[in-house]
Amino acid sequence: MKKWQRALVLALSLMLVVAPMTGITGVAETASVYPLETDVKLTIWSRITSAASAYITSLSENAAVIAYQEATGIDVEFIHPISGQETESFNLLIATGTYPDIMCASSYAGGVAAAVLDGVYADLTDYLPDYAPNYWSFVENDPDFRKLASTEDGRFTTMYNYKNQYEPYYYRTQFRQDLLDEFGMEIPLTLDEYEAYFEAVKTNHPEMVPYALNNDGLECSILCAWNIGEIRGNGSGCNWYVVDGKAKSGYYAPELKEYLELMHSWYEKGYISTDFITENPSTLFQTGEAASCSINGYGSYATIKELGIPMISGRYARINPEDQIHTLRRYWPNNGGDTYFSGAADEETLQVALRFVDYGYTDDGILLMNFGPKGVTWDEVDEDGFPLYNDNILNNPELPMNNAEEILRLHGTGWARYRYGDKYCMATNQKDPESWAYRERWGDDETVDNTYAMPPFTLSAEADERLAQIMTNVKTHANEMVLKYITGAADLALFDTEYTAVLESFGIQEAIDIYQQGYDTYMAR
Amino acid sequence: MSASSSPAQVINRKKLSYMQRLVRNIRAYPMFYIMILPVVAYYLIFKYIPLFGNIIAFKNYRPARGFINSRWVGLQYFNDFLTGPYAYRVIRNTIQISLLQLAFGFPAPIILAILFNEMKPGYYKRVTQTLSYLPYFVSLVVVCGIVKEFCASSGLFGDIQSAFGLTPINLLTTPSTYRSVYVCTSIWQSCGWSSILYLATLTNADQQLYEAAVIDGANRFQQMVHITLPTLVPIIVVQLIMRIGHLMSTGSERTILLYSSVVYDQADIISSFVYRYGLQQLNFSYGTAVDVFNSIVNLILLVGANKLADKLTGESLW
Repeated sequence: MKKWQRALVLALSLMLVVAPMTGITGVAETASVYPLETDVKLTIWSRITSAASAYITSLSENAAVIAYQEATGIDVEFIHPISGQETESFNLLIATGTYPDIMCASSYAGGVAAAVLDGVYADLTDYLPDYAPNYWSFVENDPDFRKLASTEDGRFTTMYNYKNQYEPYYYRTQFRQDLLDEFGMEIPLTLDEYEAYFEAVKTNHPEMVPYALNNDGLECSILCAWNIGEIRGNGSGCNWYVVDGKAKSGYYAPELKEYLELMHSWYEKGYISTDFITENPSTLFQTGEAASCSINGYGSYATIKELGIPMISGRYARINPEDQIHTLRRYWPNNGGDTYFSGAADEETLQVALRFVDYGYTDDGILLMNFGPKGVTWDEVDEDGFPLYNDNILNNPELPMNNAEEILRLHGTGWARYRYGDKYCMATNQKDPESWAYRERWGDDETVDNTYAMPPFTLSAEADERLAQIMTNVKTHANEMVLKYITGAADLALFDTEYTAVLESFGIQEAIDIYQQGYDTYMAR
Repeated sequence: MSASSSPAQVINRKKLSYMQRLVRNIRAYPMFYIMILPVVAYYLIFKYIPLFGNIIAFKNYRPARGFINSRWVGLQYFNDFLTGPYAYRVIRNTIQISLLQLAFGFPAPIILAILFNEMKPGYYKRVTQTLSYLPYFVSLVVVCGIVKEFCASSGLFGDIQSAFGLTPINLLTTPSTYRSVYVCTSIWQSCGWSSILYLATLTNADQQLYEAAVIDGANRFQQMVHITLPTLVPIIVVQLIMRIGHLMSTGSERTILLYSSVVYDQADIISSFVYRYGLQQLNFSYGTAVDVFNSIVNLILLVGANKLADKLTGESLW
């Protein structure tokens, strides 16, 4: 029997049963009316942030979650993994045969596509339009989101955060304004100007480390001078990127050699600490031991301001002043929050679970999921209709603000929702308007764009497995050699034979082909 | 042996099967069997039952499919590992580091025990002995944290290098010094503790031998070589065989806490490799295959060492 035939039989038999009782035709009720009347109790697997777990043991004590349960009429129970062992805990739980109804985890061994094949994650394609109509309307109205939220063959297996606002990126090199003043310098732009600053630090403040390079030695905010990888925080320097429709791996970029030559010269000149592999750049900067570092300046703005370090946000490095940078992170409409549904749940539970998450895309749900419950975290709204946080968040005598943000509202964890930009929902912007101004600095820099950004599409299970197999070896070799080249333990003159040729023998070209194919399929859809 | 103590013994032993003898023995000595039950249960639950889990080395294991339903792949993962780029390196490192630990780490507690034995009992001996055990009770994470701080170019050892006019280097991120730090850390932490066994053996040494030696005019060093050391030989051999049995299973914890990718070439051993590829990359089957391979090599080494010890000294485990 075909699927539609089965559905027809089911509908007819339903009519026979229901029609006499209610006198209406047996069409399934789709639009959700909250609160729902249901006895289904859902289990949710979700991480809990350390800011929250310092005060509460479960997200069911979170004020926004309590309000969310009341609004939807659905009771939930949380399963939290041990912090730092999320992946292992999740796979262990799945191995015992317990699939939580809602899983905020994409860490199944074998990948997402394999998890759907194995029945861990449900295929939502046939359910979303009916049981998550609010989410579905975002999918239908944004073609980019539709593409990114579905798999290669057009199936929907995940619910994602939806975010469609542009935001200036926060990860930049931070300098010291007091030192710039002392040396009579402007904020460095070219690598030569970077070096001039480091040299001045070395001469005038020999006790300081001029630049605290991150531990893996691949710094995206400097690699961007050669347009390699993606500017997206530590560890992203060699991410996949795309140039004129050609997929590229940062590990295999020929320009990487020039970057390593520069880093090695910085290391030799003492611009970089001899211990950079084990030191925490952010700590060094905060204690005043380092004169510059590349970090999330916006995120640490409040802390560093309190420490009295005159931090100033820098510009992305480049070789020539007129160079254009293309590798900036792009905010895609599917903004994390990957939420999956149990493939073993019965029909009713799956429907209720979808309706539960879908509430986060209704007008009331959006406010609740972004700002917390009215009367708890906010009372008034500003002229644009955005909630203004009250003292429970901003000046809570019992909870520091970053803890309050994880306990009274949901910021760093939880299931998928419509997401507002940080400008509107981060309490720090309302507490100290300067912090947002700090983030916006250089945000309108026209010499920086994100045209090389690789869209976060999904690959098939086999492609995923093969890619992981190759890239694990590639990354192992790259991470080792990059540090050796920088510290001088290996000779850059042998770069072609010791590095490039080895990556080739590991099959880097095959990996690039796999990615290229994934990209082409994505673009063709 | 009186018949009244155990009537079953009247029956001729040779006619009893193993099970019959077992039942008879359990009846005769129930308390002994109850006492050994927790130990047997421990080995069954934690050592034997998990052995069946090794089956995933031959399968493409996925948690939802489980041990039974995952797809068979035969020797694919063994093949991947052994023909892969890192097999030679991690096996070589494992053996080399183990041999270093054996060469320097194994004699250390023996020497320490002999030295303690030579000390006059008193306050000083008690204090030094207790101090030597202390590091063993500090958590490995803390020990490695301290070592990392000390080995930084601005740390204790960096200062010592500066004092001698050298340019301080970070000992843990320099490939040529990593292994020394690794081995020394292990000696520092376990040397005192391991010496207890040897010291305990020495308390049983026949004091008359020493008196006789003194009368024969042997000095302290001669007593050490001709009496103390021979007393220790049986326990040294047993310990050595056990150490060789662990040759390939150098713990991953210390490596993971101390190494960084820059020293992989010198530091990466099988167990840290399994941790990275198997657990961090969630490639459970591959990790298991490497571990099974490791266990097989280990078994061969243990049997070999036992044979060798038997031939050379007449002392062996079985």
